[in-house]
Amino acid sequence: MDWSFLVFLFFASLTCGFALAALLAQNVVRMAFFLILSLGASSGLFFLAGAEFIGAMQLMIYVGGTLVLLVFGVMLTASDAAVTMRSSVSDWFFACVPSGAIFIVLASSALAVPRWNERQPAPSPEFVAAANDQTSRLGLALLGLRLEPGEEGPAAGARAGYLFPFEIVSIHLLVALVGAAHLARAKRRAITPLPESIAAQPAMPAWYRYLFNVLGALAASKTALYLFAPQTLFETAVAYGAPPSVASELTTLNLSFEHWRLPGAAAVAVVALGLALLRFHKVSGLFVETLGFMIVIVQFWYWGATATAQMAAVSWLGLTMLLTAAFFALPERRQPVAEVVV
Amino acid sequence: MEAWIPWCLSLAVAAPLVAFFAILATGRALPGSGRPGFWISLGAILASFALSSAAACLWWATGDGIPVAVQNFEEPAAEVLRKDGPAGRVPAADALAEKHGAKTPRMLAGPLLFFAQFGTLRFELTYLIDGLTILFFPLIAGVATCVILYAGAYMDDELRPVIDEHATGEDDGPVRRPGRYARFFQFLCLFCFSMLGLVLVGDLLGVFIFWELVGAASYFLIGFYIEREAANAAANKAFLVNRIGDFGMLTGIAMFVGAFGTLALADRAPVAAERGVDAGLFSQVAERTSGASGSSTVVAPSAGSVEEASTVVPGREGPIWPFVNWHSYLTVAGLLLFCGCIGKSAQVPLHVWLPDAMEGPTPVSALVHSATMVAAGVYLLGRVYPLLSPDALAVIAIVGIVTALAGAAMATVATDLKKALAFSTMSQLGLMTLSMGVGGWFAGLFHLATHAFFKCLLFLGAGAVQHGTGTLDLERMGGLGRKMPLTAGLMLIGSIALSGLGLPLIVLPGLGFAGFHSKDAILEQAFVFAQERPWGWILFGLAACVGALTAYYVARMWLLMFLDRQESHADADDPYHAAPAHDPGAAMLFPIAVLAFLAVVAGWTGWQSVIGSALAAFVATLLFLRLSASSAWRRPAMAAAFAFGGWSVLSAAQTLWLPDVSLQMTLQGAMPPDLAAAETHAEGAVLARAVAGGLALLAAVAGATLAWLRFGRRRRLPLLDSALARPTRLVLLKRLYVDDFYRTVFVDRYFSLTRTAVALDRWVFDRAVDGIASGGRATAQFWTKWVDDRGIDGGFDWFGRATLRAGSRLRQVQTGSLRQYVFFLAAAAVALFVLVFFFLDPEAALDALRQTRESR
Amino acid sequence: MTGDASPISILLDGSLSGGGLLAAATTGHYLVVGAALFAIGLACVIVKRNLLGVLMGLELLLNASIVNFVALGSPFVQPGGLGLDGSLCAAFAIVLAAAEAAVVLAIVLHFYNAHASIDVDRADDLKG
Repeated sequence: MDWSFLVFLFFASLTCGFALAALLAQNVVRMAFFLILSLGASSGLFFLAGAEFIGAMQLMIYVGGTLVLLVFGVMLTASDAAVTMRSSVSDWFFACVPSGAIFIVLASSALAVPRWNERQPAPSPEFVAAANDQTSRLGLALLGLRLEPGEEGPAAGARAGYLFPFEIVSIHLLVALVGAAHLARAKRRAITPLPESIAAQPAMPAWYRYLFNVLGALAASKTALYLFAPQTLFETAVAYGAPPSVASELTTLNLSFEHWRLPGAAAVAVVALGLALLRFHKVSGLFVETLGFMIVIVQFWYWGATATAQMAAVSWLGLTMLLTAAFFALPERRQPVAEVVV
Repeated sequence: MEAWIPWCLSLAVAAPLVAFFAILATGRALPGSGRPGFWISLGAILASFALSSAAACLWWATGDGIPVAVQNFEEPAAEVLRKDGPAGRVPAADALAEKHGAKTPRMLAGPLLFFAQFGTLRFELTYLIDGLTILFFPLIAGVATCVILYAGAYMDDELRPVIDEHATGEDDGPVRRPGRYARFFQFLCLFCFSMLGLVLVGDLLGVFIFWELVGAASYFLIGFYIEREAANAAANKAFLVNRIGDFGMLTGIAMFVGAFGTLALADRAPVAAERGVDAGLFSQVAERTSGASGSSTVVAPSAGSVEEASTVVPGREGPIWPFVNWHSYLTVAGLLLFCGCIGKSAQVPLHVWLPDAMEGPTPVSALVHSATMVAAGVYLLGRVYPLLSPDALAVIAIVGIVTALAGAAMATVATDLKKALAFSTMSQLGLMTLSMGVGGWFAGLFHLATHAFFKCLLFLGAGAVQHGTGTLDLERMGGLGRKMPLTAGLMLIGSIALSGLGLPLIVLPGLGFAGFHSKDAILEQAFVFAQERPWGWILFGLAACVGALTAYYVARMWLLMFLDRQESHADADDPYHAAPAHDPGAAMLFPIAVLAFLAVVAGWTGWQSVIGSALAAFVATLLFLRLSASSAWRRPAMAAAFAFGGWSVLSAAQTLWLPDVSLQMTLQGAMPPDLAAAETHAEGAVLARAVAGGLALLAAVAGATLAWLRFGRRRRLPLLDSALARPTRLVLLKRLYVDDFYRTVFVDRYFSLTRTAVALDRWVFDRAVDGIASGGRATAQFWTKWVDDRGIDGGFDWFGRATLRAGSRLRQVQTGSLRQYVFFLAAAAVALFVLVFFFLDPEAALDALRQTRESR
Repeated sequence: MTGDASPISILLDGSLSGGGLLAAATTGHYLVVGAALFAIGLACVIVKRNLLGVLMGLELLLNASIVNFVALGSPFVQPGGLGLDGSLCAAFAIVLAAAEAAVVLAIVLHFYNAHASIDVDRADDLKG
């Protein structure tokens, strides 16, 4: 028994205890509170394990963001019946039996593997010094360069980084948020016609329309970034350990600014045209925007920069999905104005 | 640059096809009752015209002009050397050509579309572009443009639902149907595509394909008013009659393929030194008729033909079959090819469909049944001319003159305006065929081109008259000159062009409208032919008669329509007299005016064009100055003055600085080499021109005068109005009883045969089939009851019921309770875990796996 | 003590005993904590009738997996384990949990709009 184990026991018992309290709490508000405490305590466990970045993420995103969202959910749906909703004894029985069994199964298997239960010898100070820069290694890995503690730069080529999963996760997040916004928007039902003066107003503020242009400008800026900044963006990427495929591509391409200007300008012009069209006719605008991106992608592909082309394709996919989602979320037609039923 | 010509022409062919499919695909979805169909087809045909013109410009720009020595104005056509010349014909012609600077015509050939190859026989579409193609492309596209423009206004009725008084509906009333405006243009586009394709292709397969396509388009267009009994019958008649001719044509093609093993007309470029399968029909036939000698009885090869014989493909020497020599073989094959022309160009005896085809809308009659499709037969003759043997040409000439005479005779008594024009077309086509038969390749095709302009003009004018008066009956018309002055004037121009009136001059060889020059050329050709063969005088005499008859019926038609009538048979009931006739709108008049302009200038070449246009401009200016301000003719006269003046200036510029690209010169450049060589050495050209031209003009003037006396002055003429003429008139009105003869001999026999077959079918075959069927039915009933219902169906029913029962029991598992599902999930996970780790013993399983791997 | 060690490790490294403090707890301990969180979360999902409670149970389940990832990826707790993969998976899991929370909350609101309640037992539209 030593210090760290005491600390471990402290955080572990806090985590499990508050989780149990959350399980047993009948009031949903209290339950949320206990959950916050439990998750916060588990971040202590992460710090203890040397994963300080994950611990910080846990505190900031999970405890600070997600659970606040949950509390908002509680408040939005709050009613006396909902706050305290009791379960029957048989429910408790049917809950405890499988979860107890699972706990037994998981715990016994965790303790059954010998490799997991050896006490590790104390790490040398050199190892600690090498291993405790986990945050920077995570950052490099997200840029495509993966380094384990004790490895140096050239070994980066040996293993793939996380650039691609990172892009995918970011798009996933975006789409999930748009989808959530779409799901949760208020429903309008026509009940009684409103006075003429109010009914004459458009159902949607005019600036909503400009959303398309804003999103499109985003697309255009990203395109321009890909096109016009090979000497900045990509050199930076190489310096920070972009995947070897991309890096070698970009260095062998050796394209000067002159090479990029004309087709790049054409692509941006097409994209901008698409954006202009978006305000008037969504589908054709989308089509033209897609066309612009296709030009970009084909250019990269033609120059042999396949990985870069893939990157451009992924960003196109994301932005187009975003725009499409926006189409469905924001009907442009004027709707019959009526009382909003929540 | 030259390589672009095939591209231009192929695209020109494709454009109407694209329009056809565009209208076909959009069809009734077109807004504005189908009005866009007109714009689509107009755009397509304009594109065709532009591309054709571009191709023509490229052709003239890249070529070295027309062979100078071929210009035969001072030396008209002479007897054709090749037809019965001595052995070694082609070398002789070549030598002549070399000596006098005549060249073989320029020709571009190449593949368009490959289908299949059987042995050495290739089935492919190829193109063959020579002066003929270059000339006919803009001609067809231009005439089609005029007609489509015209039809855009003419077919206005089809924009709305139509009540067709001419068709009988279910309740014996008029038929009510939706308008078919777009569909009309759809089929016009199909026709334009087929016609242009026919001109472009350079192999017999392609010719046959497009030949049938124009036939199909013609069928659709004749039967456009499908609800009308007459239109329906006419379409069927045209189609069936053409089938007869096309059968012969197909046989002829097969004979050529069988003998020469290729379908292509021209050599596969570049001309192979050795005559293998790559040699086209032209060179192979030339070699055959020269090497093996034109007259089959003589087997005394000259020095030249020995050389020729040594290059003959092994296995192709001597007679083709025992007792069948090459000459007869080629004659028969050529005549069978000509059968197609007989059908398509309405030659006797397959001419019966053409008058009936006038049931189609007037623009169709103008484009398909006067200007282009019916002329395709003559065009084909011109195209395959080198394949035809002298004997075949003699038959062709006889068929031609008979047709010309019969058509002209029937046109003199026809009472229906469009039918009269149809007979006239038939007669003119006969003249062209005659010209082909007597060696007048140039004259026939020249007349074909000019005829397209003025006959199309006359038909469109007839349409305008019908539009204004609602009738086509010549007997009921009269006095329209006051009501429709512009139509009358334009049709007068067309009539003069058709009748062949002009100013004869010996030095400057005559000046007249287009028909004057081309008809003169035909008569000259007949004259030259007759100088060589006594029986040719019969042809020449009859051709002159046809000229007289032509002038007569044209004048009669015009006078009956537009001249005031003395006796008034106007009664109030007649809707024609009740409704005031009037000129049609500009949309219809403009195409007619364009065609009138072309009908005037198309025949001129060189300085003739300059002087003629200047004269025409002068006359138009005089007319403009003399007309009162209120005259409907005043502004058109001014326009004509400007047009002719401009044309004169252009012609002058061209004559001074550019190669002559007029219709005549282009045709001259495309002549088959031996013909061209022969024509440069005609003897007695001036004599032929003077005699033939003078006779032709005399005949025309005589015919026109006769008509003027009879219909203008209302004189009773001793011969024409006597009792003797009545039976002749009756016979002519009955169309020489040819239709009746066909009906009695073929159609009725066919129907009685059909009835017999029906009876046989009903009493013998049906009975037998019924017996078998009832036996089968009894068997089937047995199986249905015992095997199907009881056995198979019962089994499946039981299975279905069992499934249903099981399903409704299993259904109770789905409680819809979310928490219960989670419980099951967790329980299942635990159970799996327990199963794997406590019962299955994963270590043992892994060991077993490892051992298996090692044992391998 | 090296100069560029993180403050946390300095704090934890100043141990009373000779062995490193960080080595004290084995992976198995972390995994047992994870198992407990998982079991509690599962029970929460099953037993809570409140839809938000179910959501919180889900968060606990995800958190259990994050604990496991971190433990197996830590160079101190489990050297030669998942390494950086574990930490990154944990990071991605947190991100996905955030997205999932947003979507589930949207579903909750939708459900509430439709049924005027967030009782899970009311969501029995799939009852056979």
